[in-house]
Amino acid sequence: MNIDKKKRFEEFVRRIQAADNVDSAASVLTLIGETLAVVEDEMTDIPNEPENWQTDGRMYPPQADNAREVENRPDLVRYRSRGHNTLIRDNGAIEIKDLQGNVLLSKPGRDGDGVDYEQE
Amino acid sequence: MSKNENPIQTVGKRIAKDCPSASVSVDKPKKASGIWFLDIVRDGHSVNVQWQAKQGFGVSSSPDAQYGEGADEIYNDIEAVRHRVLSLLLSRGETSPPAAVRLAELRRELGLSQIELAQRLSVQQGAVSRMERRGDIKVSSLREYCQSLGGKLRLMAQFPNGSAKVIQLEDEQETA
Repeated sequence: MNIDKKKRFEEFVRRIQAADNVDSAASVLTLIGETLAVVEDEMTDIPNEPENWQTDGRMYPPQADNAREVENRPDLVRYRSRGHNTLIRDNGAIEIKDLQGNVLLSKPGRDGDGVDYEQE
Repeated sequence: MSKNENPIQTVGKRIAKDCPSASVSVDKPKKASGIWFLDIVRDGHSVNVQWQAKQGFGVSSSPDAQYGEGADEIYNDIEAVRHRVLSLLLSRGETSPPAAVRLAELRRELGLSQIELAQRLSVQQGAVSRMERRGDIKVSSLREYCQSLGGKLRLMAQFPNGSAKVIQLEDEQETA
């Protein structure tokens, strides 16, 4: 309980990296959603209410409404949030970047290939 | 607003016109019914606006946005958003989460649970929970909350030109 945001995100990243690689976009979205929910439930007392438009202090996983197409990459979907982009590849690879382009999390799919995308 | 643009595109165009030195870009969702973003940068200072038809506008300008976090401020009116964004750009101001959220963050930073804080305030844990989820909060409740954390409440008004004034509370004047 009562862990600050930065440490909560670090714990989320640690758990995602420790998990087995997955082989589809749907599986990696499930992995992100479940891991984030568990971390936030364990480390905060903020109710899980993803429909909140205004911040309630809790981290939420990518939602379908945030999806963006990636030019010339039909195997990739970019999920935008206020301060981050989450790239999800069909092979189960994931990359989370802040808006300055710093990579905060990178994990390959089960086939060993990463997201392999440089945003302009 | 032209027939072919939605409200966030209109906001983007107006800000670009009002503030030519700012770069304004629209981040369009896969589906038009999804969540749109407007990223505005002026002299290295960033403000972003998110919009969805059923939700209205969210405005944020803070360097420490957490992953998947919602907007700091909510507006329903195009002109209100435009004014707020211009004010943030010109004053290089930052947004903050709602007071209730900030209170809970302060409590967590001090390592206190809601139960522990409730004991200090002589209330039930549910009362602390409600206080931390309330959109509007009485100044007296805010003062008690801050005092129970070991702090002192100070109110400050910030103005579009970047100036700020501390607001003296009546009982502070009496005890000063």
